[in-house]
Amino acid sequence: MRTIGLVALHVFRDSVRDKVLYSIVAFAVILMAVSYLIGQLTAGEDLKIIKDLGLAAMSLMGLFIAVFIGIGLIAREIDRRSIYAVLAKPVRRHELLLGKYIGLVGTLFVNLAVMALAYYLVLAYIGSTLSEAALRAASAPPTDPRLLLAVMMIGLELALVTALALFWSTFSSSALLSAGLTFGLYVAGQFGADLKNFEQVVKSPAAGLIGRALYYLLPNFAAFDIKTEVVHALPLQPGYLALTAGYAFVYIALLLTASVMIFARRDFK
Amino acid sequence: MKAVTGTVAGVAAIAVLMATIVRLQMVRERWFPQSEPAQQILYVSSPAVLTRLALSYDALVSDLRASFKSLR
Repeated sequence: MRTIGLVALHVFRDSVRDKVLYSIVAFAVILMAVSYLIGQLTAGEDLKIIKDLGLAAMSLMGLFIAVFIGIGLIAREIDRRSIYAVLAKPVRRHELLLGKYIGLVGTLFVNLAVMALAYYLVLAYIGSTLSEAALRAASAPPTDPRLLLAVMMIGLELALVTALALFWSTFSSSALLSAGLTFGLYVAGQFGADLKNFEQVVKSPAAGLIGRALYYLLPNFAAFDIKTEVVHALPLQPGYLALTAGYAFVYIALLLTASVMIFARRDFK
Repeated sequence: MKAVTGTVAGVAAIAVLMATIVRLQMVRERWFPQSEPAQQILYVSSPAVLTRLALSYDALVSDLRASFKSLR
């Protein structure tokens, strides 16, 4: 356990050294610039648009970090041949893999927490510039605490994407292929409802069956998207959130188990 | 022998986890069914913006729009 913690800490430090946390600055600058622009362009809907845009920006920035750093966690060690030095020490392969995963997820969560703080500051500022009538007309207050639920769901989604990227990188030596596969599954996972109802699009029962099977087997990323409900103050069931969180944890466990199994047999010669 | 046992245990763990994933999806669907809107419409008030967004594929976007209309 201590070894996993040490590897995780090393990954976190490495990410900070690689200027990953600069994305937070980019996020804050984009959000502030866009909030100013939107304030000039829209009539009354600027608060809602900034809420939507901020959550989407957090999700996208996190996705890029998760994919591009996730696929490089193992591949870079092999390319640099530093994997030999690491594995020559009393570090087991599964400890290295789990430590890398926890380190990157920790980096992502720190990133997300700081972005959420910047997001709330921008929303509080926008709220302070709105009139009483506009605030009353808004479906939810500017600094609605329920927005944190959407941020938490983004965090779980990113943890799952990281596990997926790590899984591909355990057996593929091509970073481009790993990135393509991770992005491909992320996109496919956004179209869960279409896969489920595929038989309504094609007139083939076999294709419909395959679509339904893929819907259950591929990670369903659409389930994590609660942005609309949160921004429009629609009801959200705690049971739904709990089941989605459980789904993410079990899927991550599956991907990490498969990654550990593949990585344990990988030949680095 | 130890490696074979480890592989069998790993494969069994993956099968159990996959079954749990499918079960969780089914339970979530049953308890919290997602209502699909009868019709999804996105209004774009500016044709010029849509033409620019379509890049050089404006004819394709126009065809897609026509085919979606005929599906309804």
